Amino acid sequence: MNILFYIAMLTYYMINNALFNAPNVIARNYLHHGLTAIPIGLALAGINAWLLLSVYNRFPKWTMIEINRHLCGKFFGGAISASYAALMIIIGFFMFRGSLEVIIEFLMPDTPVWFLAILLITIPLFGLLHNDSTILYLVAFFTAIAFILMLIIFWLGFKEIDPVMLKGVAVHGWKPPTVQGISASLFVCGGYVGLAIWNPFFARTSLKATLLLFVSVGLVAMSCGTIIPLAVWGPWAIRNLNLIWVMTAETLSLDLFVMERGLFLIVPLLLITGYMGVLLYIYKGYRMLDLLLNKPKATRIIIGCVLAGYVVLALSVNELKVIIRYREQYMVVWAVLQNIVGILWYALAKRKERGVSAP
Amino acid sequence: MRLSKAFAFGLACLLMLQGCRSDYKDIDRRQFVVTMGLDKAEGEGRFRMTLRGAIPESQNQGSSSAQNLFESYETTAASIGQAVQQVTQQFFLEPDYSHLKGVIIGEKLARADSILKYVDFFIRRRDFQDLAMVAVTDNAEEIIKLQQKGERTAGDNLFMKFGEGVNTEYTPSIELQQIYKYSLTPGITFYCPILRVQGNKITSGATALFDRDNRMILRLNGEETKYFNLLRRGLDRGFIVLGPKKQAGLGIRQGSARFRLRKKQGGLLCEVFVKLEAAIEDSDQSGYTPADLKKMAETKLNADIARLLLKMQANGVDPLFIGLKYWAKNPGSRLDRDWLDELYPAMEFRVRSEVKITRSGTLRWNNNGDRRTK
Repeated sequence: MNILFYIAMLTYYMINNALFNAPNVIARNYLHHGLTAIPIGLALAGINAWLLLSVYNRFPKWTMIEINRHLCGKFFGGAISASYAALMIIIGFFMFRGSLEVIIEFLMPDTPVWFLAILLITIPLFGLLHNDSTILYLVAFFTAIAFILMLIIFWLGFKEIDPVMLKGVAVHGWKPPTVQGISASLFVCGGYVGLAIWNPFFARTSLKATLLLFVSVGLVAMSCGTIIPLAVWGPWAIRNLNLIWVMTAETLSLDLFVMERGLFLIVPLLLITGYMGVLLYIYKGYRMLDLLLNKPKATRIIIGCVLAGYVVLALSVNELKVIIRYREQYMVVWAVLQNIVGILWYALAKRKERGVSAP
Repeated sequence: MRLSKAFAFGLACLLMLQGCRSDYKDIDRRQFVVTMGLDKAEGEGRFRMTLRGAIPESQNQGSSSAQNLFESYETTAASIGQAVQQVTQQFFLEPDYSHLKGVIIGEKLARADSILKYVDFFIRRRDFQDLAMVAVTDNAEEIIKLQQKGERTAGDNLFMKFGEGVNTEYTPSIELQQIYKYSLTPGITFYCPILRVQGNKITSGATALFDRDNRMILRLNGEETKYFNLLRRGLDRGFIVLGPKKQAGLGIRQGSARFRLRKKQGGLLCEVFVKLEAAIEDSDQSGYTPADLKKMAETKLNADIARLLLKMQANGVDPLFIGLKYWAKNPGSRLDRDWLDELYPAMEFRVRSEVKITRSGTLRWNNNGDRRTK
């Protein structure tokens, strides 16, 4: 498949997490931990991408499941693959609940939550009826729209920046970071996890293109996504905000046809990235389970139960603060696993290279 | 494929169902509240809320006069949430607050209560715009109910005063979201423009300054407001009266101020550099050379601005965010409430103005003195 689809996949992750994930961790804790998590996370992502891509490119026809089986053995490799599938499904829930929150708060406050939850769950269900290339086309199409919206939002955000706040944020931003901050920053660039199931589509993946994208889109999106809200609201007031970028967009005045509030631009962006995130994560989880179990019926039953679980959990978790806190912890677990797997794969692949010849 | 079709049909059914429980109301069943006034009422913590609800043009057909532009609603309560619910009884259409563009607070209420509790409500509720302008007045109800000649849409006589329509040096505009963030930022305080009704017109020309507890504490007059705006965000129009000897003055083309904070023995020194580009507009000054006028303007600016800075310092308010500026430039510094207690009161100010007379309009200026003698 064309490299543009790979770029779109990475860019989607960057937009989604730089706007709706990283600011919740890094900007909210700015006063104590500054912005150093951004370059550290980016550097870690670069190293991790280098380790993983070198292994993926050695086995261009294999997915993560097969590589795990080959490098780590049936049981240990299976356990790693199962952990990845579980992580996909868990982050799918966070995306699902986050998107639901925006709809409940800003679009349909009087519509019953159970109804919205069922309505929203139909989107990934539709996704499950299609194949890999359809999903990748969909990601590329919506990423293009999201990218344009993100640029407009950033441009409007720059105009609202308080220069004194911006200067202060830059001067006081160099403090020891937290693990959560580094994980959130690493997560922004984590789009290459899609290779777990789509490696045969993209191999041999270009490491240069990946790193270039980290620096050009990832760093810019993450810096703007974190610094603009900080410079608009200030490091003190930002701690009280629930949806940081939605509230930042609320401070942007527009004169664009009938639109006069920046909110009307951020909500479509949030819905596009949110919905796509739910679809993408559930689809990836489903495909990994499918490859792992090799029993389509059982996989469908498991995913059906997972989606039902999403609806039930979405109704029982009402506080956004709780979801944000769990997502922070999730990102730490993800970052640890991602780095361990990166090193392990690289070391095992090197060892195998010396002994067993690659297929 | 069959499964896909069945699924699409199921989804379509679900989509149709959602209309049953939604309380979505069309635009013709809504009344848009455009401005809100809050005045102090009798009783501890109670206030009177006055709303101006715009009447849509479609419901105003056949009326050529401007009488039916809006309707006002009033209620008294001790909680803003309660007041918003209470006033709904008086509407026959659904009140919609998404177009609320101005919140006017009575001076008595602003002096008695922290206005953060009201601002917090507007920011917290998703249906209120965080961009709504905030002002203080002696009687909010009077402003909300005032119908001014030439008012095209309900409330534009009020919210057009903040730069969207007229642009003056006497109105320091501030939005709800700005008040929220400034009130939560330690060590700084905020401001609001003061409006009043004078001869059936809304006039601006004073500023309310709030203390660290978000209560109004100080009032700046028109002249002070002008200098306050110059120091806060610069000016692109205005006028300096060169008095007291000469009541004529110079037109401001461009004005800006820069703050430099330095440590010195016993505290901080705040140097304020004011740069002004001015134009000669009054022929009354023809007895002076531009160099004389420049000197007079600089002396006047230095004295007036220093007086204003000392007045704010003496009242323990920092609406020019000097504390924030100091924090922004010094990596080791912390911004907290100590700024207003320790560093700010001991700060020394030094004002240095530089006036450049750049234009004399479409007429020449006689540098040698009175033109009439030529």
